[in-house]
Amino acid sequence: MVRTAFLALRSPQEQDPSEMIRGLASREEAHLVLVEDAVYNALDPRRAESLKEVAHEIYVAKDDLAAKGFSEADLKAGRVADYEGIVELIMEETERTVTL
Amino acid sequence: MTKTMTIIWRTGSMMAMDPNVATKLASAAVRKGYKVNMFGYGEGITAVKKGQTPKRFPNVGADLEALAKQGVAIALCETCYTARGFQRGEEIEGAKVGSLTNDLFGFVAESDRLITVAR
Repeated sequence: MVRTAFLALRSPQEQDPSEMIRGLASREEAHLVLVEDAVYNALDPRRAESLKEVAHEIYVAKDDLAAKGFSEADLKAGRVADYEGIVELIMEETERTVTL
Repeated sequence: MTKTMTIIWRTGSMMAMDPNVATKLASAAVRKGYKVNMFGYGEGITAVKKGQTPKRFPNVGADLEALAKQGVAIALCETCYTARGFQRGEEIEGAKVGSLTNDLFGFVAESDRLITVAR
């Protein structure tokens, strides 16, 4: 088992992270980090469901969510994390980082 | 032993927030006590240009300069730099005009994690 932090940057219209994650890791291995416009993935009910199917943990960058006028209450998947939490996930809780 | 993180960025300073994500990750990692290296190439080299005044946007050049003062090793690809008409000396203090061979490979060799922030 290779625990993997998947870093998604792009909006849901530009990219669906689900397919790449499914091809690279099992659900138990996959931790997804949504930053920048990728945070919108966690606000859309249908996309949120598909992400929950492929990643057992979803982090949504708090700064980037707030910059777009949203908060944790708006999330349909995952939970907010600050950049320290994201670094912790990358450095201590997973073995590799893949940028999508 | 202190763990090391290397961050690569190659998106331009005004193209997307990628360089800002890179600096936010680096800042958080420094605060948590990790050693951090950063390498910029392609359009990413625009982030190290001295004298940026982005007004209402975060100033990624100033953020990188602050990180360099905190001990983050910052290098960028000379080929990409001169290809875009930059001259040595136009980069922020603390950024080294270097190369993939001499700098990035050294960073990667010593790193526990490698993160690319690019699209």
